[in-house]
Amino acid sequence: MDGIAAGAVTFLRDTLNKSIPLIACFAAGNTNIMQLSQEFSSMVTYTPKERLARALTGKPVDRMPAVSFTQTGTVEQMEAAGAFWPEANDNAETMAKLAEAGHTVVGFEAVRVPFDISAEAEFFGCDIKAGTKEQQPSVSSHCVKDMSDVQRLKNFDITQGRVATICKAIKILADKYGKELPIMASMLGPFSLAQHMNGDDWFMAIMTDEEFATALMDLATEFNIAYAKKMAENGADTMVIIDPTASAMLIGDEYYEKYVVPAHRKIVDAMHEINVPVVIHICGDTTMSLELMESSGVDAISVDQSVDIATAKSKVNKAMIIGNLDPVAVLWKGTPDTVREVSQKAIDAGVDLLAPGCGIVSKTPSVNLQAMVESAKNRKY
Amino acid sequence: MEESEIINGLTNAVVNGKKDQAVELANQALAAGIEPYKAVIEGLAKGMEIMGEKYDCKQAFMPHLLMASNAMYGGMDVLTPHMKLEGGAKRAVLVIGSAEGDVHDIGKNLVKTMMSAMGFEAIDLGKDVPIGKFTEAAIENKADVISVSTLMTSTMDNMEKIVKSFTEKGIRDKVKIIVGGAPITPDYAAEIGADTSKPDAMEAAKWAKEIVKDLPDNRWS
Repeated sequence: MDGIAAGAVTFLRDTLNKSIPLIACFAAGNTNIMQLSQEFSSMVTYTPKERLARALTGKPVDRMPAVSFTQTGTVEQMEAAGAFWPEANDNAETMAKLAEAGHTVVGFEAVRVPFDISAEAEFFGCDIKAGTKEQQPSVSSHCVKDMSDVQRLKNFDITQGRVATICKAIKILADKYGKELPIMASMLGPFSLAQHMNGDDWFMAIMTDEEFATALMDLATEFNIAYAKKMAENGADTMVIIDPTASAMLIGDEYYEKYVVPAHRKIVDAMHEINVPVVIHICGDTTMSLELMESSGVDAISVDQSVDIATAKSKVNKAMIIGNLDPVAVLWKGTPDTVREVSQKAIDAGVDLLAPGCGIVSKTPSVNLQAMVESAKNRKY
Repeated sequence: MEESEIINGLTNAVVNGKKDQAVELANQALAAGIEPYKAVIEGLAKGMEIMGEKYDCKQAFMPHLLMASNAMYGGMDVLTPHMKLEGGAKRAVLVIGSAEGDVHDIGKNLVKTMMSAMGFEAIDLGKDVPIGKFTEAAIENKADVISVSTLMTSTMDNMEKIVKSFTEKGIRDKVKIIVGGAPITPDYAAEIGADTSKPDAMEAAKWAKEIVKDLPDNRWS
């Protein structure tokens, strides 16, 4: 489809979607027109790529997209695709293959990389504990002690290291699926990256050493922007910032507002300039801080299972709420029936996008993920 | 300075996260002949307890807690070597670590801090601890409470293996086991045969302090 035709179709869909409530309003009582409008409505379909982009920015869609904003790799998918951790973390082809399995094996309407959150700290020189088939790699040492380290790391080259491998995997996925599917990229957010670099002292540094804390946050944010842009250049169309350590539950609203909001805002602005919607995922009970989280301008907020969806919805202005199936008790240990039941509860509570509340556990059975996919697809508007 | 002044000063130093002050007052406590155990429990530990409560009602957060913890350990390093045990009684022993595969230790460190504040002698095995280390350390130190943390879902199975290793060594009934971390629930704790899981470090420490009373004194002999 060429650009003009595609534009025309999008325009038509927009018009139809916008006119439906109008028709319904004017035609109250006239069943024929009502039926007609419903038929139009069900005729409007989108590619998964369009559907997610619209859903994330609050535009009407025919039904809920079925995606995961957090890591998707599982052992069953690895076996089906012949692409295993830990190779799938280091090799672009294997990474793309396993990401693809999220779509071809589970049925997610997107492909997403990477599967871990350690490439960013690794990039700056932190040691990594290697992952296994069932476990992601993780950061095991820290690389920033003081201001001199921040200075030393300022001239980074984004084309080096595993972050470049991830960009390469994005390119492979975008070449194959970019027209049809959302190409989702995730990265560790700046506050958590700073904590990985500085260790637990970071929590004290934000209280006691403003100059250093600001400098390290600036470095991390600058990296995040450069990396996110690189991922977008390679074809990523949806950006997920995973910033678990930034939880206001951990650091309090005061420090969240001071250090996290401005950093997230810079990343969001850079992404919005190139039309990439941004999702922020922070674990834990973030209920009280949702307004603050939204103030950075993110399009959507992904919440975990400790957040009440209806309450979360009432706290935000226009950000979409994503969540929040318990990855352990429901998706891993549960059955397809319990997944459907909990999914329905989240949908009834008004969740905008049904998704896991945190990274999918590698041992999660595909049938459970498929039950979530099915529940999302059944949510029609 | 009067005894009560020093003791209150120690509490305040912890609450305000002032390590230097805690160290200085700990030295003054020794010079003034204050019972070191009293200075720890009624001074330093009380400050940590106050911070735990503030954390619970969201008046204090991780940064404040770590500053307080830092101050408490500063004071304890001065006082502990001088501590004589009341009536020859042995302090309750905690063996603590993050499960094998998990390199996170901030949660573990907080539990250790709160339990130390409750008077436990903490044997810290660190992070990414091989499964067998827990029973080894428990036997060697005649442990009372075992605390295992993980932040990662992928290492939850190792938690189960750790609990099993106590049964296999025939020492499961000699210790109380608490497991914790973001993905861990009381249901999971029960499922793997641990004694409990608590939502935060403060709750964990309160539980541990009570539960050791159920353990017979001579069970390790």
